[in-house]
Amino acid sequence: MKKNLSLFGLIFLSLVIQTTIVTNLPHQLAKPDLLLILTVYFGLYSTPLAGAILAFLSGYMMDIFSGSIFGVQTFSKTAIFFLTILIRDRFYVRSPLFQAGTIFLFSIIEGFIIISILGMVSPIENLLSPFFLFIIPRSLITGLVGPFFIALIKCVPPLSQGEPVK
Amino acid sequence: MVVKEISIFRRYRVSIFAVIFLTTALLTISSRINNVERLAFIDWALLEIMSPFQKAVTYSTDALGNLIDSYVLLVGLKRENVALRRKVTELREENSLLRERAIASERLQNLLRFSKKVPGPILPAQIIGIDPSSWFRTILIDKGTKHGVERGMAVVSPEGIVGHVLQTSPHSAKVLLITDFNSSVDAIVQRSRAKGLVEGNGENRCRLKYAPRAEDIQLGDRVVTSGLGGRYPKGLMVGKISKIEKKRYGLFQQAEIILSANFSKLEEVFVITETRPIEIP
Repeated sequence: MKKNLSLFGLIFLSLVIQTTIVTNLPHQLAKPDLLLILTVYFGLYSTPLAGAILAFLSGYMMDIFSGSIFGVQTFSKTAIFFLTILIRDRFYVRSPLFQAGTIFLFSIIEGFIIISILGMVSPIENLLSPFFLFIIPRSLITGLVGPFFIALIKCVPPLSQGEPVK
Repeated sequence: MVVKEISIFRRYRVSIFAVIFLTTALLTISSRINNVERLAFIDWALLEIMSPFQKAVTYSTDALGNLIDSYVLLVGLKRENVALRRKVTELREENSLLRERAIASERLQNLLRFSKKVPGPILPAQIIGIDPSSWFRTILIDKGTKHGVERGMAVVSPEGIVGHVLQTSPHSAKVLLITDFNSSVDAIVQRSRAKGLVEGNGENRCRLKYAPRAEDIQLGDRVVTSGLGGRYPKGLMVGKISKIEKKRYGLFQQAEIILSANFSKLEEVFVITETRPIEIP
């Protein structure tokens, strides 16, 4: 319970940082997605139910502060969480290199999910151009920041003993 | 039997949770898609809870940035530069409005009375949050319904239009920028009076669409709001034409617009809390 509350607090804090400091970084195209990193962390270190609720909530909260099609981030973050669950028993999840690769890959997958939903919901021209413009740089920077952010999360006392859940 | 059911549930629990949560997320999209401007209680509450934190972080980082900029770097020069830039911006806006009026008086005498547009009271607001995703273009401002902000109100900056209020809570409001995919503004080319629709393309540029093919549009032409639709007052600067796409066929031509407002450097905006309907004779 204490651990899950701390994780909820982390979502809150990450969103505040994401909507203020991160969005004001000099290079607008390469903003790391802290909530995606958190979602992958939930997938690696939480139980399926608690993690799913937290991933859903982080997507939902991002939707509140994000664009006009509500629910896109909720869906994509939840999907990323379950994808992480799928892979966590098959690989050595504690390796920072693995974490960076996973976050990079999942960031790209999330981009595809969002593009697909946007394409289905509204007729927008050149939907693929944001893929190269936003997703690749964003995924790279998110993947690079990911292991450090996860290491930082583990420094929070209630989460410091968090071993991957089997 | 019960034990067997429990063991089946344990075996497939991840799949079951996945179906439940993903379906709920899809239902959320489906239920909100036609109610973009509706703000659920939970959304409203979270916006209210988070806005003071966002304000605090924004003010702290701004204060820190200003401290470094103002005291460590060139103190006087920076202040003078800011003052001069503000003056230039004011003069540009004034110039744009004067041009608009001059053209209107030359073309039609009776348009003169409409060119004295008074957009009504404006409310300054600080930007306290920017859309966390790369997909949408929204900002969060520190004024809400308590300050008289309502859905649909126009949001402008001294350089030009910014967007309109999408959702409100008592102390904050979400503004849909004109660069968002879902934004469109009725506009005219100031020189030739060619009409069109300015649509966002998700980047820091917009496109002028549905301008009749026969209309005269040239590079560098200024694009201003037409006043149609009632959301934005007439004559507000949108941007300048930077690229024209005119195919050999079709009824319309398109153009790319470089926006006047620098969205990456916006710190303060103004909400037009009242607009008068403008008639075009």
